[in-house]
Amino acid sequence: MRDGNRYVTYARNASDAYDACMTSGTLIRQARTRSGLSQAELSERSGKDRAQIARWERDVVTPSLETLRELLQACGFDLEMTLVPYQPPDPSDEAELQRALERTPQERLQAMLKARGG
Amino acid sequence: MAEPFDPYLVLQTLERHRVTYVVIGGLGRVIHGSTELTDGIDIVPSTREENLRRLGLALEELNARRPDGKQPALERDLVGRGVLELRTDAGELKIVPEPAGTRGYDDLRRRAVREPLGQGLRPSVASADDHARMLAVLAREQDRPALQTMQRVIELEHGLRRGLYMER
Repeated sequence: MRDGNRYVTYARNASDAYDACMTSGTLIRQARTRSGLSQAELSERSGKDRAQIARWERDVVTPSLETLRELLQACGFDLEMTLVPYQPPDPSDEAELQRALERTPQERLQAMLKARGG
Repeated sequence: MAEPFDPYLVLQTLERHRVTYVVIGGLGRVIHGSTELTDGIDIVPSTREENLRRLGLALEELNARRPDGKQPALERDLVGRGVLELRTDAGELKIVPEPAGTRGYDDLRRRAVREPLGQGLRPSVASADDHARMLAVLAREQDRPALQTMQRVIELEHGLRRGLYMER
């Protein structure tokens, strides 16, 4: 999976579904923690190096799609991927969000309180 | 006219009573960068007995009332209930012991970050990933814009983190 690509991803086991745009590292960490495994236990189950799993989880490096699937399966999950039409963010919403992210958390809260007239 | 809402008063009261909790919901998303408006605070408290006792004292000080006007009794009101909605002198306060898609306080606190909000407050706020996770699991149409915003925040934050790694 290359950085910058947008996928809709699903980590699935039976009735559990999760739908959010996320990184491969987040997906691996969530699958591992949901199944109650440590990185060492996932390493043992998947046959992958523990330090490499840590790097994947931190998104320092990105696993191949096949490796990602193997890791998720070792946690008891599977990966479903669906192509969906790409909708670029609305430019005005994007600009507003960028401005908000340039503020501190305190400034964001105070801007919201001001906007609601409080 | 907007309903009274003073998140500083609510958070200061919780801090004064040394309640352990994580902020979630609209206020949490605003702190992460969402530009939505909100009238209240949603918190996930630790459900340990001592913490619920402290939370009860804080609620008493905030003059918290259930929708039926009665005072909340946490140990009774939190059992089998997804959300305990309260009105306080400082606005709405929702107590959510186990938000959808999570295992409650112990699950959220690991990725939560203490965010400086001024007036000496640094409450623990659930991560953007966890906010997206909760909204995704609820799968409510009205939450779609908030979910999209959180997803974009995650992408941008991830981009920033990746940039930092590259600079090292």
